[in-house]
Amino acid sequence: MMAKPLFVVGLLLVVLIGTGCRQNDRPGGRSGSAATTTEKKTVRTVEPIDEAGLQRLIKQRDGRILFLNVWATWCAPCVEEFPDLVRLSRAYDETQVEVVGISADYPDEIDSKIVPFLNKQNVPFRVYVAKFDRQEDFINAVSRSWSGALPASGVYDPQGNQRFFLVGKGTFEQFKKEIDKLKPTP
Amino acid sequence: MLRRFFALLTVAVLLFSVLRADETKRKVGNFTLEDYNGAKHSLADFKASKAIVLMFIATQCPVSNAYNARMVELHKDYSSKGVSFVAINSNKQESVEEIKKHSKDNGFTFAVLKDWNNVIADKLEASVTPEIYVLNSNFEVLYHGRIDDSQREGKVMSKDLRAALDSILSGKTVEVQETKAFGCTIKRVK
Repeated sequence: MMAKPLFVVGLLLVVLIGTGCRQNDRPGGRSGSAATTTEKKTVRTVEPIDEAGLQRLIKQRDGRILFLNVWATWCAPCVEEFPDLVRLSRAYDETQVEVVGISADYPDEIDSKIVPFLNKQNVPFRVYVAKFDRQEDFINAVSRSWSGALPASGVYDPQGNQRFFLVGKGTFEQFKKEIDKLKPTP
Repeated sequence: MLRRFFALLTVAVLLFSVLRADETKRKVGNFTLEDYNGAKHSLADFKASKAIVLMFIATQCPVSNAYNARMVELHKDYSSKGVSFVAINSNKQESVEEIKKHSKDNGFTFAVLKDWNNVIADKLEASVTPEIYVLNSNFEVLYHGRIDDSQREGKVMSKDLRAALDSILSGKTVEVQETKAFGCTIKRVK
């Protein structure tokens, strides 16, 4: 007699746990428990982004502020800066401030270099890899004023206007200050 | 009368633009740096060269290192044509001993100078490695930017430094005088 209710409860638990994992594993989702983190490692995706994609990312904000960081696995100051970016993404509600990384590694290095690095850093935000035919097009698409030195970070308002751009390593406090100028209450 | 006036005006405008373009050419002051053996090298030593290629490089930057063989090849191809090549290391964390080993390991045939306290990088406003400045014998910058457009040699579409040197050697104006160098930030002293 008890078998059916127990089966239903069990089934519900399985469905709930399954749904929870999927939500946390969305690109840009927050990492939670160790189990979720482990799951993230196996399902993290890094998509290539081209010029049109980058323009869409910057311009189609849906009311959200964008913090954009351009980095590479081979760039020492980028690697040093990453924990601050992780902290930054956790400091804001992602429906209001979106943190996005664009790797300047090559698209064929997603599995060998980018994903292992992101997993090691437990990066909760969305990361793309630049897919541009010409290096200069990528540099100019990020910012006309950018020299091409890494890392580089930009803050864009909800209208897609660049309001801050830093070439070189920044800090959590520095970036937060710039974001908060656009959004006083984190 | 009106025709003559417009002809004169056109000549004046053209002359003004040429002079103006010449005026805006950046000039680098003479400087002296030591190589990894302690030997001094001055920009003035290369005054007789048809062009001087200053290359800001690094020992630890993978982008700069991706160009090691290409820099040796460039030196091989152009030194016999009167072009001088000088590499400069301005990174604070890369020691003279490290530069010496790196230079030998990669078979560099050109001098590598240590820019202590990034004085020359600041002077030229160099920001990444590799980053190139091509000067004429008056130390005016004829080309500034990248070596080419991809750290992966097989994907190169635009050999900008070679194009600039070819133009200079054939007495032509360098068509693309400025490109954006892509690479690792020069690690400066604060």
